[in-house]
Amino acid sequence: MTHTPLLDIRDISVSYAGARSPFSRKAPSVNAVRSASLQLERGETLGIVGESGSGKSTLVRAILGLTSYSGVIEFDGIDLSAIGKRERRALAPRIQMVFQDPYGSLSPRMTIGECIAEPMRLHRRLTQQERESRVAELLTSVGLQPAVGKAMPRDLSGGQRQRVAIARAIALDPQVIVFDEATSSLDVSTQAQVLAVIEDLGQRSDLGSLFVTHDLHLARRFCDTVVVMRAGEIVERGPSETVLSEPSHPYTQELLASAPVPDPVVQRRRSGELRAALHAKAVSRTQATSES
Amino acid sequence: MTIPSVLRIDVGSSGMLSAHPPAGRRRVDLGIVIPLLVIAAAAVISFVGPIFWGFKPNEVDADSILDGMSWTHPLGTDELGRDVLARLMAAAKVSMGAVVISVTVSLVVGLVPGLAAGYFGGRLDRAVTRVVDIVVTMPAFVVAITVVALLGPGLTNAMVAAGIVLAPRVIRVARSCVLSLREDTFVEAAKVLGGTDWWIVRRHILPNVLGPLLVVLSTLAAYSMFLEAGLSFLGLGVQPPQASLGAMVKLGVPHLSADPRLVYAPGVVIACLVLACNHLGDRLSHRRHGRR
Amino acid sequence: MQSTPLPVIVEPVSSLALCVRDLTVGFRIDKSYVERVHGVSFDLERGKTLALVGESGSGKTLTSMAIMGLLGSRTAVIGGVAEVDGIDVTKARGRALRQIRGTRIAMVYQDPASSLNPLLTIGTQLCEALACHTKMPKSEIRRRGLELLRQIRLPNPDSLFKAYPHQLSGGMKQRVVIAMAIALNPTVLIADEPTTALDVTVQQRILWLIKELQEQLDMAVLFVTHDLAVVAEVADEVAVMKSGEIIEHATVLDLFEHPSAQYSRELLRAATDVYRRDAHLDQEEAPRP
Repeated sequence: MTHTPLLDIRDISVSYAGARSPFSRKAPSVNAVRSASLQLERGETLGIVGESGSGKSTLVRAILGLTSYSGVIEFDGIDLSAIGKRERRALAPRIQMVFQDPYGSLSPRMTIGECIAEPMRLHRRLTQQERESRVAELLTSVGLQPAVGKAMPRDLSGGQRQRVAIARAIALDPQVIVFDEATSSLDVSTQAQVLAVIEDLGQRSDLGSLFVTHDLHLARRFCDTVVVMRAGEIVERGPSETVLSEPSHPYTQELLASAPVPDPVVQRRRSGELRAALHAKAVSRTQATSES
Repeated sequence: MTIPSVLRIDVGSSGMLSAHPPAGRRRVDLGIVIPLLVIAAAAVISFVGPIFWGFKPNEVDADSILDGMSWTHPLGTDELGRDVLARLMAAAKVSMGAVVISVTVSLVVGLVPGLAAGYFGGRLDRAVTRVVDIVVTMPAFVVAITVVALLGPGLTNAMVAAGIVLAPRVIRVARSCVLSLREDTFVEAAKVLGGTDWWIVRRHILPNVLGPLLVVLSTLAAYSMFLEAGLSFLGLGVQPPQASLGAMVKLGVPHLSADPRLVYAPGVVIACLVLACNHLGDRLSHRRHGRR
Repeated sequence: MQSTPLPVIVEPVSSLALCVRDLTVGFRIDKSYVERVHGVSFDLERGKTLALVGESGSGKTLTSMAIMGLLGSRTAVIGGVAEVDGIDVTKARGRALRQIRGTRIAMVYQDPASSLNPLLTIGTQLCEALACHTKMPKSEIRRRGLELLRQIRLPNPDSLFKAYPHQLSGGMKQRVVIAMAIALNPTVLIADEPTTALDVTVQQRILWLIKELQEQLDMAVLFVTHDLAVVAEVADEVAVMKSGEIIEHATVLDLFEHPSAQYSRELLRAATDVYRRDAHLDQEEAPRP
């Protein structure tokens, strides 16, 4: 029997109608995805890196069923576009997502406990008591006290809300979790705390994660493999160590060179090198055009 | 239940530039309490008062026609010798009941189309909006009279007509609420969790619509009272000898020069109740927007 | 790229560009004030960059707003002074304050879109500042505006002049905002998280631009940020803020190499945490312990 990856994405394209302005250097279709393919194995953490407009968020939204696409997305061998809405919903517990916005992803009028219990109410027949104990268990596993279950989202800080979002995502033991810039909106120290929770999750065997981020260093730290997206296309892929320390594609090289490092000596040296390199490129370009 | 401060371990935002007082300190808002008291007082008096008051609203007394204010008849009598105070209490009860009918009808007719139009969009939305736009351009009384003409005179029918006149406002508020909520992250999160449309509307959208709707309801109540008074004044609402506040005004108009009291008494009550409802709606609306 | 320096419109009064002493900002609740910034003090010279670092809630934005005189209706400076070119901004009102703003002190914010009026062309907004504070004739203003656009390295200044904000990318908008800020050659430029909303490649260029302009115009720059990598790039000195106080003030090298405050150490550790435990890291890039 051939081996089926957890997620098999082949030739995905997503497009929106976009208005082109004379001063914009962006492509006409904003956030489009063009013929992207990737595979996710069980137990693998795959990073999707890119800048804004690269299509990385759109790609994962297509996987989660939040936007229509052309191409094939197979989850554990099941073609997601070939099944009906009801079956797709039934699959939901197995593919989950943690959103970027900690302030919007929790329903403002539900208690934390209700937020976390929602997937259970949708998909399982558990008694109230069973739900409550599971909620307490989940809260503890993300480093929050069970008492938080009675609070409202507005009482919590951004980092705490993200942890609640993670608890909700893992409530039904998913096989794939997507982290869509899950820590980008948080403070530096909060980010570290939430990342620790995520890392902890990664210890679970068989869980496949997609880690969408614009932070290359984060991707190198957390991901086994990485794909680099630019303007809707995947321009480079490979083990994160390789791609993010010795990239072959010029765009990845520029991205890596621009990613700032919190170390003044190193950063200024790199900055100076980058500047010199860009200057040299510009000079050779003008020379080439003047020569032609 | 208070959340212990130890939960706030993250360095959180403290909203330093905002103008909100710290959570937990709620000053009593007189702007809401006073109108509520007025309405409650009117309700209590009109329901309980007649039990203790000697005169019956339809008790004719040929000897006391158009008597002025006295100790026996604090508000005097009308042209048939009936005690004005007794009639006023009965009329107030009738009017308030009428408003309840009218507001309920407007909700019943308006809530579902409004929610559906906002949530599903497309042709349904366009159809509903078109109908609403047409109805709204027609003067309220014209629509009401038309409906009463179809249903026949009588207080209930008149209030159903009033409800239909007011339904477009409910539809618009509900629809615009849903439109803005639909894009919120927590709605997307619910979709990712596998929620059906029905679930999402019921658990996530409706609770957030009820708030603004409550504000609109207060204004609707005020307008209903106004419509009822007008329709009864025209003879299309309540039928004699039963009286509503509007009917009393109508009956008192012929005697305006001799005994303005007959118009003022119900008129003042109408004014107070309408003002109270309007002010309540206003304050609730301020509190909502101030909260955000 | 050499360009003619902008005319100096106001004469500097003292050598110290920005002098903040015991600045205290309070937030009014009922009748009294709750202190949100407690006795902040620092100096800033022309040509130097001070980074004000802190997480959200630390008071860094309030401090910068206080120096600009932009506090909201419920917040006020309740103590201390902030002197730009020797003039106390916290005591200035009305016309005097308007004079100071733009000519001596200017600010660039995080979200360029909200700093630009979507209904006016770039050219109109750029010239607004010039028109307000100088008596230059229109043609001269326009010429100055175009030169500013060239100075911030935007191509096609003529067509850009007639463009509207929504036609520009985030990075371009931020450059325009910077151009508007430096139009009158201010002594102090306050940049409050100017690159947080931008992509990393764009961010790098904006930071270079600010550095360049600082050299050209001999400006003092107060850089408010939470991002230690940005601090590493631009700052000469760093002041770390927490809960409304400056808990450490050092040169950038000293802070990163030998942070003295516990909080600074934690902040640095959290920021560099991401790079640890990476076996293939270039030795030079390993963060200092």
